[in-house]
Amino acid sequence: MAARGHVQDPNDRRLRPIYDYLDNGNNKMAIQQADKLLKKHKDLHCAKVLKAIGLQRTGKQDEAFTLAQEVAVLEPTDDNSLQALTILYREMHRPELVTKLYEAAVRKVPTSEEYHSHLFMAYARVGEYKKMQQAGMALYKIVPKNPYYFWSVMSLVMQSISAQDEKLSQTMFLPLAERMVEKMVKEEKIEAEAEVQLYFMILERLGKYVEALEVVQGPLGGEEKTLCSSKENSGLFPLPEMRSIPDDWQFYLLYFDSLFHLIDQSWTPPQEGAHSAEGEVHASTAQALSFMEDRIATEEAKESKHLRGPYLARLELIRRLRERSCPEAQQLGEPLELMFQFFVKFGDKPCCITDLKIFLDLLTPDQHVQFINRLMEAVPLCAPGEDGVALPGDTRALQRHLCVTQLSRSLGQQHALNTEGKLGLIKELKAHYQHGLQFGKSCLKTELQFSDMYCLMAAHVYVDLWLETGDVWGFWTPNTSSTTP
Amino acid sequence: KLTVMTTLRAFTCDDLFKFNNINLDPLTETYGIPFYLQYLAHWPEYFIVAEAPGGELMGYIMGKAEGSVAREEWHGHVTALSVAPEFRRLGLAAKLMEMLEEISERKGGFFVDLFVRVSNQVAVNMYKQLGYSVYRTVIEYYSASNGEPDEDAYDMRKALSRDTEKKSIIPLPHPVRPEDIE
Repeated sequence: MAARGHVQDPNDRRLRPIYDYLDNGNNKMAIQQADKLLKKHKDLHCAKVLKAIGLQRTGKQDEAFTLAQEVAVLEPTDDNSLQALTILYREMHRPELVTKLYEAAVRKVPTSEEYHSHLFMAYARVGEYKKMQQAGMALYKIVPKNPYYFWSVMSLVMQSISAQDEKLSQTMFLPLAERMVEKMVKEEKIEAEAEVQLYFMILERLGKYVEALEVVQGPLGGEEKTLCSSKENSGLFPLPEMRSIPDDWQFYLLYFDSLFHLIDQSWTPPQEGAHSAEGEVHASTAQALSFMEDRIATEEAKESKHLRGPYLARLELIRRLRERSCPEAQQLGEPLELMFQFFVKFGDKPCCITDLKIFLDLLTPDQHVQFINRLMEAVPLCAPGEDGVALPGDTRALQRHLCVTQLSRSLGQQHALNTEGKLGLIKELKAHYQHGLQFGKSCLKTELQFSDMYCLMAAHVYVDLWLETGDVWGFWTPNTSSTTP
Repeated sequence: KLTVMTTLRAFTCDDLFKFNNINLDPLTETYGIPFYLQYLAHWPEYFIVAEAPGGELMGYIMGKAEGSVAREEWHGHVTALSVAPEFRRLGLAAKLMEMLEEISERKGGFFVDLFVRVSNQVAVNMYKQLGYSVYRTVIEYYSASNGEPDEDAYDMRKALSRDTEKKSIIPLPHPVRPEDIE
């Protein structure tokens, strides 16, 4: 993790204390310090600007501005002054002054990559796309790094998007952008996925869908094969890719999107020849069902390390089929049962909660109680103690219990309890929290405890009670544990 | 291998509004917006986020490539890596590191390096498992915000294939200060 430096460290040690004062909000001391420095070195421009920042922050806008202009007029080229003025102008909401600043700087130091870079950013803040385009290319001429070139291309696209005249957009800006990218492609200088995405964006805006598809299917394609589902394309989804992808939710979603898109268009495969460049294309519910069943079967056959994807995808397919009133949804199974099975497999992982939450709406309201009961039965708990609370024996069981409790809350079961019920629930949650601390004795103080979520949930129930009754019900009573967050 | 089951995609500006569940963690730094935007502008391929089926962000990695090729110091750098607590133990951090290493290999980097708090045992061990070793210690790299002492960092490295003799990871015999870092 990189350290969070406040401002760029000034290479002038004398300025350091002033920066520190400003960062800590001590504007008065910052101004004082700056004045002291200026008495001895009246030409220390940066100190003037820092004083101006202090003045600005204490509400003395006009004085700050006048002082800053004294420095700006000299067209400074030292890093500290430039940065400080940038900060000041931005706080004054005068971004256009930053462009003036760096325009002067690059005039004086035309080979400075840094100043040109700042100039580009300054133009970006005021949306001067044409100037951005020029600044980008100027940068690229100084140092031929790909980002600079493509900043210029992107600026052209921005000009196209913001053009009042649509024709100009289609006949000038976009074609120029296209040619710029083609040049890089021809010279084999494409490096980043973002560059290919930009190319695709340009072709799409030009309506050149065939060319766009070719880009994605060609050597530049790589991970971008998924972009195939644009409106004019028939949304063919390359099936063979599915088998080689380990487990990416996005692919399942795109598969379903494409599938139903094709079904709605009544697309049928050609009589002869390949369906598409990548192989078989699915365009019927039956094919989707058998594909899903195949994927599940593959997962089930594995000895260990099951992927969550196929199971969740099956639930998603059920949802989509139900939305379309397709009776085939039933062939995939009963959601309650499927979600229970999922819990059995993955319930000891925290992500199980967020995974299953998405599909809770597949249950009917009268299934809620049954669902939670079944899940709870599958959680291995020790015999209840004197207080009637059954506790988990290890962290896996704890996580499972936590999962069921959180899902129960998601279904609204905790909200449905009356005041007495809620108070009882809080007592139980506290007991679980206290008990769970034993598993985390070796945790550092920067780590979460295994049972922290119980404490958080108890707090939420307290809030629920307060919202309902207006009473705080002993919320502020400290827990006895010394590690209470 | 890894039971990740996520969408791994490019981080976008909008994701800055959704990453609190990852960043509100004592060991994760939250930088100013310009810092993130600089990375998005200069090294977009290194800024990858994992998104869960429900749309929550699970974790992200942010990096860059820098250094002189001539001095065999051209390398990939991990600026930030963090996974939300509810999505830990899924192998996500390892997956994100793997991607960053792959990109760095493609760019011809000699090694990958990163900074980590010396007290962050969990992270230090994880990186060791992934093949990283301590190259040097940087004194008071992390400045504390409120009267607490500054903390040292380990600069950990992993050699890539271009560094055939693994010269880049020979540890330095003495610690350095932040000013001495290139």
